[in-house]
Amino acid sequence: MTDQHFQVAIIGAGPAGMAAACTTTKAGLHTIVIDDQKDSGGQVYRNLRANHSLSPTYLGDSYYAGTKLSNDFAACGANYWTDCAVWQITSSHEIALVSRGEAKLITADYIIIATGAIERAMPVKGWTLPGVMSVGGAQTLLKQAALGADDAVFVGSGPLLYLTVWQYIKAGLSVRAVLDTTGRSQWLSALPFAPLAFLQPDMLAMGQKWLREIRQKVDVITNVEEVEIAGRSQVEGLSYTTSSGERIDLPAKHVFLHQGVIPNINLSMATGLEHRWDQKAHYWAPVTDATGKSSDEQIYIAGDGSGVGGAKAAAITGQLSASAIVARHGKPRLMAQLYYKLRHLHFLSIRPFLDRLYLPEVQFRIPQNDETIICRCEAVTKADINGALGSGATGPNQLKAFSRAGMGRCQGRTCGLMVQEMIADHTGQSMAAIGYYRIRPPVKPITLAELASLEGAWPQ
Amino acid sequence: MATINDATVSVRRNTAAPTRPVVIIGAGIQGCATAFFLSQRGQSVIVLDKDHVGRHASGVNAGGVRRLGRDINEIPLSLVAMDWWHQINQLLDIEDGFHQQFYVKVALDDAGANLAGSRIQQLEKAGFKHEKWVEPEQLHRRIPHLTKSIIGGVLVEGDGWALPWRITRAFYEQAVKLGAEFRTPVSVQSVDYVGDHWQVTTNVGKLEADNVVNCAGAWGAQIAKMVGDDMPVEAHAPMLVVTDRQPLFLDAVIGVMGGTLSLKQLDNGSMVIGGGMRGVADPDQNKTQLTPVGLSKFVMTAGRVFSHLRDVSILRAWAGIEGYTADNLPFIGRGSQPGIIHGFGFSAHGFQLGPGVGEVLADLVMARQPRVDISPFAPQRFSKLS
Repeated sequence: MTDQHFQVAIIGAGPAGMAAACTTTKAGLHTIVIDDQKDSGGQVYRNLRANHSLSPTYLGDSYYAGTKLSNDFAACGANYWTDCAVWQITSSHEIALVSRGEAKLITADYIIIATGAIERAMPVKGWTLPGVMSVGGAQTLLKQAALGADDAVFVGSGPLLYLTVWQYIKAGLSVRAVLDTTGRSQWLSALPFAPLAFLQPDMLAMGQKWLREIRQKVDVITNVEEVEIAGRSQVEGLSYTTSSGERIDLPAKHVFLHQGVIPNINLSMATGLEHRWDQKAHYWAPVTDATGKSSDEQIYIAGDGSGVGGAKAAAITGQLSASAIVARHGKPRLMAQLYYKLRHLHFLSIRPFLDRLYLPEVQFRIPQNDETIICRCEAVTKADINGALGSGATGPNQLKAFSRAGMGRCQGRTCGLMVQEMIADHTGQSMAAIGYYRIRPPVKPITLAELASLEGAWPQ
Repeated sequence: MATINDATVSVRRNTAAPTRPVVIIGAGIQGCATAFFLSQRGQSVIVLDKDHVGRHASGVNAGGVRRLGRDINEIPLSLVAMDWWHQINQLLDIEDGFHQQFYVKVALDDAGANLAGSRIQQLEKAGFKHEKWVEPEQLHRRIPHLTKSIIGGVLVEGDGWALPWRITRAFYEQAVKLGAEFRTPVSVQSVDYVGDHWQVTTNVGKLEADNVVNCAGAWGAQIAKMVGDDMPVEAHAPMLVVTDRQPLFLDAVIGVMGGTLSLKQLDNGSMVIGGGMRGVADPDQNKTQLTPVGLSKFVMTAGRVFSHLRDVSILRAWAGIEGYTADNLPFIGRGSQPGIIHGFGFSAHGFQLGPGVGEVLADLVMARQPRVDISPFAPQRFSKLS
């Protein structure tokens, strides 16, 4: 039933996937890169090659830093399937994909999953109102379509928040305010790791530059302790509480939320790979060795999908996994591996600081209000989840059956960690002991006719 | 409910020696229904499950409630169960527990029509009249979206569907209200006859019982072995998909003569499509794996019946672990040693039977004669052959 066989299949054409493909093709391995977007770059270097001809300066140096990698990838000679989504990997390493209305099965000796990160949900009151968007979503519109909204309020924490605000003001858009929810306790727990972060002086300097230029044009309010978005059928405004206890109302039509990114684990989980709970970063990540090899000997995880490290670290892990695979084809590249490992460690030096600084406080991880929605797809509120817990649901999968949370289109990507933490709070068990939703294929949307196309043409 | 409970307590107080509780192994639909009927009749019951209530096939099956297409030997039990389904709301204190519609297996070609013809003849000879041939014009009138090429079908009025997890859970909740005790997750390590009663050894201690009921589904053969009964089942993982919500267009459950399909539309507009295509089951690890080609096969069959669904998205796919016997009939009856009662191996069509099986197993525990002939389900039927 298999249409094609490759030595290496790389899923995702972000920095990790692109770098991996450059390495495997250079070693002469028959490589395919599968990506569900129209062009390479992933989220961070989205639409870079198209933007490059116009080179809007507002996207900034950190964006154009991906130019060389994108060009190298375009020239590397890997098979590259765009607009193509992987919906299942079987235990016999068949990769089920769907592209342009048709499903297909391919096989590979080695698979590199490089599906990146997703934004952590920020379930403040009103977060599901029309007019509220994630900062990542706002940035995507800017990169992909040069679209933005004036007078938006940015809420949350993390580097992506500030980068996007910076890109917004450089693009000439007005920003009403930035509400930074990083608390004093996060600063305190992060500070001991600041010396390590100085191994990345350019990253710190870049952050300082963004902040300086933002402050010249935008109110940046720090230590924000509560946020509520108000509006009946769409956003009308928001109110926030400062550390001094003052409550302030702000009219707004657009609110952009962000509080960091977490590994996108749906494919690795659906594949049945082992995962671990990272208590410091507060997310699930696949269990891997230093080269990204997962609990399945033939499958590697590279990039933010194996633990968030940022674009530069992602590219290095792509090279690491790829060179490990090259080595298993009898072409050991010990020096290269050592070099990649050191570079990776170097890029990770800032993570202990950032992970602690930007771990959201609990009032931003779990809704504070009974009516606030937790599962957007099935419109399940906090009160519904509490009701299910009261009826005896003891784990995320049981809770699905009780409340329908996590049973919609997004397959729990948005609500998974919230539900898990609510169960942990209720039962007193650790997050690791509670576990996560059982994720099932198809991990990407597929229509009946597309699925049936493995058998033949859909009946007329 | 309180009055029944009080009565139970007073009955027990009057007995000289306290009776040992009935131990039921497995909290799927069969175990929960058996616990319910036993509790209702004043028996004290402890249900053990290595996972939790409705964790496997009972919680995640397609939810078909059908008499249609059953093995002739199974029809009397299915009819008894159907009596309970018709009063399921009162029985379990729920609303809309059973969506009574009609169930039709359409014939897509002459081979399907021939199968249908001989099936109806066979049933009539045995005295059953619930399955009827229906002409294509009539089917199209009742199900306007049905593909034009079908040439008829076999139909049972009053069959329909239910939400399997909800019903299993409701049996559990009512059993608990009536005094049954559920201990989960507790796994049974051995079942031994000691002196004059059974001792059930679990990972958290021992239990004494006069009667042990084995409702352990795909794991039933392991329990049977512990009491010296050789009752082989194979674990398989029948696959299902559920789609995005669609405008309501279907108030029937659809199957295909000679094919693998079951298709229904839930109240929220989602369609559940299944029909017995098997994924890979790993009962030791509690894991299942879906097979892409298998999924595509029954989805294609859905397309042959409703071609207008081509662009409907699949939300989820899943599989539950179920135990299959060599003749696809369940094991229901007494084990080779006194006090052991088996009820497993339903081979992916046990959900509808659930209430009937609960009644029958409760009868066996209480040494009553069941209303239906259960000899075709004899636990010893394979070992006798050899």
